[in-house]
Amino acid sequence: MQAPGSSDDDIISALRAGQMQAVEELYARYRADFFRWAGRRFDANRHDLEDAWQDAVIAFYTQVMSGKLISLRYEARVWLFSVGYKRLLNLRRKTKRILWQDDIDKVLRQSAPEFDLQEQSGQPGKKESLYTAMKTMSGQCREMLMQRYFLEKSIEEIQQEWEHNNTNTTSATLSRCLKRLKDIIKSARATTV
Amino acid sequence: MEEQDQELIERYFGNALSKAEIAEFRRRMSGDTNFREAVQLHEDALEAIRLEGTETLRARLAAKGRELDAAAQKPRIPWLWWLTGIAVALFVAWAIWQQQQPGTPSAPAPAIDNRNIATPQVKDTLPAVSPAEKPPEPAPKTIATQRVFAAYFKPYKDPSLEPARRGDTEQSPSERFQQLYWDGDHRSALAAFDSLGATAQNSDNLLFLRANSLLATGQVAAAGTLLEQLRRRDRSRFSAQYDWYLALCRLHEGRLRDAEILLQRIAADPGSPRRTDAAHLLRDLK
Repeated sequence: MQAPGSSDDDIISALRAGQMQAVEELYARYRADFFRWAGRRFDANRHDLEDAWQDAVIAFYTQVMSGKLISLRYEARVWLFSVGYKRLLNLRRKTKRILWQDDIDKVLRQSAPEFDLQEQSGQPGKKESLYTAMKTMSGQCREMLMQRYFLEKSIEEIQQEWEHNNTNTTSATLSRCLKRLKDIIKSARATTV
Repeated sequence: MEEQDQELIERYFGNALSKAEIAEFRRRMSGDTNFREAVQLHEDALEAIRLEGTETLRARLAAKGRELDAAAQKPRIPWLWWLTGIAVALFVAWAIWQQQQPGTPSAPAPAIDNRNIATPQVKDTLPAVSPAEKPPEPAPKTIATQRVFAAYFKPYKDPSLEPARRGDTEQSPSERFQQLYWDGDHRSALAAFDSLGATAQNSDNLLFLRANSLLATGQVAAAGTLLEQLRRRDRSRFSAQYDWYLALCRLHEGRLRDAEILLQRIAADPGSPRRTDAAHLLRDLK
């Protein structure tokens, strides 16, 4: 188990501050290393490795933004590799026999459930209908809702970005967009029931 | 009452409720069907936003991945250029040396006493070409490439850019810019962009639209410079479109080879939304 490096903590702080370049830096920093590492363990093609790596980085981002990941028990690299490893396992890729062990294997043995971050599949078709509902929204509503509820930006930040006259306008616009999204989901639900 | 509930639900999902409020919230969830449905609906809306956000982030990472892969292949190109350059330089040096030799003997010519031999006048059989008589240069390709440009260029649009029609509130400057852009009034859109605040003027998403407006109004060099800057930063959600519009700029400028390189890259990228367009354009250029 390693103490988190200061650069890893910096990444968390940067993400929390809304600096999206930090996600790209994280993605780029260990990508080639992960491809080599996972490529030795799985009979997976480059596309699968890329998917697993993207999943790991996105999982890291969402965990940080939801406040579930405040500080790291392990290095970011170990965290990401462990999640990527689990993703490849879930893809049921054939694992290769490996005769050596490394720090990631040790962490996975000790804390395997921590890295089970697979999304809940939910009701079949629900994901698709939610996805469609969001696509039905206007571009501005989508962008603003994402800024508020995915990127976790404050009302003030959104107000500045959209150059609204005041935060009341921003709040009202967001409420209207959210209500519209709910209406779309509700009517889609009513037609499928 | 309903508004209060919405606020309560939002605070619940934002982890902003106290212990007592959470207990009360759960009690209502078990006893109040309407409330439970409202909570469920809010959760679904957040999930829809999360799905969209994840998709956007994935596209961004994929673009970064493509950039990294391209960068990993780059070192080979300078080597090729160097080798080609050295080969060309050697060939030119050899050709000059050959020209300076009286004949093309492979060994030094033996010394011959030619004092009594009349030296025939060697006539150059190739007519000298004076600048005035230079053969006509091939017609510039610029006009043809501009025609192809006109056939292929359309300012970028997708449904996400469609402005929200809002009658009850005044448009902000960036909304106004996007409205004009969407309506195809590119001159006014450019003027509207110039009046935006600093934050909006630095937004790569809006700058990409500005580049399109510049292209639409014939300001190709400025559009090309801007697109190159955006491409280097790679920070907007339109990153996958940069190469296409940059290729069109190069085409308009008559820089056919540069355009072809970009188009070939797009056509070879299975993830590019412009793959088919690039393949068609390359075909038309042949």
